[in-house]
Amino acid sequence: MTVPAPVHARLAALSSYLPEAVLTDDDLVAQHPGWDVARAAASTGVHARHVAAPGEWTSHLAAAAVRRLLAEHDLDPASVDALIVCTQSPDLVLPATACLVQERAGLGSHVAALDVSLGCSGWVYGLALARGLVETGQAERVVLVTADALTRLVNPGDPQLRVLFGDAATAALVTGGADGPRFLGATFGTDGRGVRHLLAVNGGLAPGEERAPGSSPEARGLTPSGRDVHMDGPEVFAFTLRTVPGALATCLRRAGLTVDDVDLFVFHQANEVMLESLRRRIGLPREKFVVDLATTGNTASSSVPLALQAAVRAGRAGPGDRVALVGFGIGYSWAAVVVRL
Amino acid sequence: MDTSSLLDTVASVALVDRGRVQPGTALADLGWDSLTDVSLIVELEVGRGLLVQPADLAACRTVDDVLAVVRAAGPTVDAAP
Repeated sequence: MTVPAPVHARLAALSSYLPEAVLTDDDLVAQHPGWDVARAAASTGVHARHVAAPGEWTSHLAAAAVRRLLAEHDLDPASVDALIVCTQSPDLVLPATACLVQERAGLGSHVAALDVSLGCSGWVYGLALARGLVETGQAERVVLVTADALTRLVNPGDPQLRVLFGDAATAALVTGGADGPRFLGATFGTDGRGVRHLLAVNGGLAPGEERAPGSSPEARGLTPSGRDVHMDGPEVFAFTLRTVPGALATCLRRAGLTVDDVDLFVFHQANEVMLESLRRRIGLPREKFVVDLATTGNTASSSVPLALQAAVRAGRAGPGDRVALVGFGIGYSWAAVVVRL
Repeated sequence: MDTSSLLDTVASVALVDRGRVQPGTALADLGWDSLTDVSLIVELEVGRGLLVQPADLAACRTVDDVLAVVRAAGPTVDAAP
């Protein structure tokens, strides 16, 4: 009896979609007179954000990214047998956005489709799920989508968050055929005590104010828009500084690697000051560290794949390279993995 | 960290002249906001290895309050395994 060779999953392709409309710093200055946009933009490192058009929802962004993945990499839609959509801004409370994307992107009805409701850690979690489906033989070609119309969850009167967030979608293909393990040292973590510091206060079934007193738009002097994200920036910043270095260290230890063995570090593109603080705190060399959010903003689960795609296009990483991917944020939730491209 | 050095740090993160910062100065008069809290957290945690609680900073009303929070800060520890 012949024992079949183990299947090793790999990240085989990556595409993205950014909505056409762009919100610039000048636009924000005009819309929020008297508010120091320049200071906030300098702190976040964000100077432009793509914004979904009226009538353009998360499923549209997601389907556009999937269609690009299929076109740019000459993939047969019928060959896709699983679709994972990571989003926290679903078109509808139910059903899963993945069902809308399957139909919009023209994928077959044989596809397994599901949503993952995670934010900034979502792509790294999604890679783990896709890898699991492939390596256990439950799927051969998994499309992993990240998509959020985050700007729809920001109160129009909240310039601090309007500066930061942008809309985006990415689509990746995870399939088998690797010559050995390509996902190394996977590390995950969750701390629900952080819910109160970063959440959509309203728009759900339960009142978020109960978990996060003082976070409602009314308490912050804003007119409710129906779906209002509240973020306690200093708390989230402190969580990040205290959690991400340890998560990366655990990931590298599990992978049997050191910082020197990694060719590129792609963290969640939260904001520039946070990224630089983490880089200094961990002691990572600037030339191996990606900061790329000036024209996209913080795009939640899309930020890591967007930054990786840009880095590959710029020649900063290529086939065979080891890239450390680290996601962290809302939840609190975090995840890290080293991927060999 | 002596008081003079702390006041230098407060002026630096608040982006104001050092002469405007005295122990009794109200933070509101310095234009202090959550971004300033973030800057101070970075300066203390990354620059000096000191852990401060954001909620303690958020409760501060004067420079004196900030100095008390900083003096009570312990060394930074990583939370994740």
